[in-house]
Amino acid sequence: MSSSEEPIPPFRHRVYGLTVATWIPFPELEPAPEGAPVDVAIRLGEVPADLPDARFRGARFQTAPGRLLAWIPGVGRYLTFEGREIRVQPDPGSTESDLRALLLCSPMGALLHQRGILPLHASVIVTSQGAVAFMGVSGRGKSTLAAHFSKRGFRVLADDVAAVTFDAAGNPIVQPGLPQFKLWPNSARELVEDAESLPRLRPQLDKRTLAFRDSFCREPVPLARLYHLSADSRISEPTLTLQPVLKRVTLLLENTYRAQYLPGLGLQKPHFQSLSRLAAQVPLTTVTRPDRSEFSALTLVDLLAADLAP
Amino acid sequence: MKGIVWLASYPKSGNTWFRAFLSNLYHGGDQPVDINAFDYTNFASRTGFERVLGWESSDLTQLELEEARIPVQEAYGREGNAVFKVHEAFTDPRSGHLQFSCEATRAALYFIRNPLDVAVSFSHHRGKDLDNTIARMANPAAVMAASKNGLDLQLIQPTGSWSFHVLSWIDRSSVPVHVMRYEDMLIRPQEVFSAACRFAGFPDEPERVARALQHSSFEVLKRQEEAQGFRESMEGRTFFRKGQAGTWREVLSPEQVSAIVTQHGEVMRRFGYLNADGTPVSS
Repeated sequence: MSSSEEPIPPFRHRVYGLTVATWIPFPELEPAPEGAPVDVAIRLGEVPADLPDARFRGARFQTAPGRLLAWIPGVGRYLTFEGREIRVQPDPGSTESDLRALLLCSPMGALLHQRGILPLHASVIVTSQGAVAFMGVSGRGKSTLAAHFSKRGFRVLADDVAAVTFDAAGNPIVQPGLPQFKLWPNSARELVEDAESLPRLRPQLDKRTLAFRDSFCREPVPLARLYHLSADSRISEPTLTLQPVLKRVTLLLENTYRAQYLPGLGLQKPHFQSLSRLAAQVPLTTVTRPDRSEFSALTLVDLLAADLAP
Repeated sequence: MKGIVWLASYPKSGNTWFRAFLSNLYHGGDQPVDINAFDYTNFASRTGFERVLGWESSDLTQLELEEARIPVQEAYGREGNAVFKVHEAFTDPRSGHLQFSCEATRAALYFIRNPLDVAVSFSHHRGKDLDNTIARMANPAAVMAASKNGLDLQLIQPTGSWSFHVLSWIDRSSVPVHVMRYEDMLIRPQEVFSAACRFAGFPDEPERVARALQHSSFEVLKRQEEAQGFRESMEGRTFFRKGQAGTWREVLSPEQVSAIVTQHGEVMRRFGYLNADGTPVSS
């Protein structure tokens, strides 16, 4: 599986602090600086149907030490290995936009894990104190929150996946992700006038993308605060709860992007060490909003803006 | 024993009660298990599904998700044993496709309740009026959690009509199914719950079953909900409301009763909800 003799793919992009060389341009990604050394190759090639030494066989993925095999029938198969290459085998009839959109999810998540970069399921804004991450499972409103903050003039570092690294002194840093929000139509309508005209994330999906190149922060920023978004049908007003360190570790694990890959990749131990380091350094607050249809995201934006103020 | 046990039912038919019982059967000490810490979550919960899927459900199309249902169940089956609550019909009423893997299934417990009472309870749960709910129970293409705009925390669950749901599991499924009538669970709990435990391979020692039944009695569940709320209630409405059979008599109009009997009479008769003359049974 050595790629050393294959030519490096022609297009260069910068994402999560990495320079990636890709076989087609990825318009959703930033260009890489001229002459930057390539960290990751993303190329077409043959991808096996099965990992013979798989430690875990899920429904649409298999993991083995150093490797993730992931696939979606009708789109393609992806093999992410050793943190330096993602190999793509398109299925007949697949579109480039589907191949790109899915590549940036699971295969990229595995790549970050393999490189020892901690991917949190979070959207991240930049404040005067540093980066602030909103963590939460899909549907909890992290993209919507970050998009509202961006409308209020905050810069945005990442949507959906926050890549956390540690600097030489051991301080957590968030690397810039993609300059686009992924939004459902109802959230998109709150944010832009003509939401229907926003491009779809994938041709067959209602989810839209909203580019934020103007408010995108292109430099890594030290992580200052973590919020974990939650909802509860039993309450009528939102609440904020500052979490003790041990509980932070649990919540960080729950909000780790693609944590289900870790046992098979053999990376549980280093991951847990990263989470413990992060938990010891960064305050984490659970934000619980009422689980009611009439509750507005703007109420939460106001509450968090006040909580964030220095 | 390997494989998945499905706790299957149309909504509001005793499924949560059985989950409460089962949680107490396995974990219960001297005190009832917290109603907000029940195990045996819904199979359609995105979080659990995605863990085994390996992808974010919200990045996939509806078709890709539907095609992944059986492989997800097979992956669970390979992992060991599992128990899930489900409201899907055994086959998708829209396409006729199987929604459950026979290979991954160990057994299914199917909960059935008088549809006259289901209409009352489901109407309250949904926050919709009775006629709307009765129409939904007759809709052959009904699905749950099909939000058009946003992202539901559960995946879409095709149920079909009430009659379709019942027959899909009891007559047309190819897995071992044990049927439990809600009304029998109320009248003869020790016997009915013990038989279900034996069928599904759960512990069935009499004292253990009796204690779990005490800890999941309607009064205990309701008291807990009053004291601390229940996460699974919709928009803050009470979940554990009456827990009785026959409340439809005080709520439904003669026209509403007649509509339900017209739509579901055949299945109602078969499961003892209609008298020989076609009128609803008294309880």
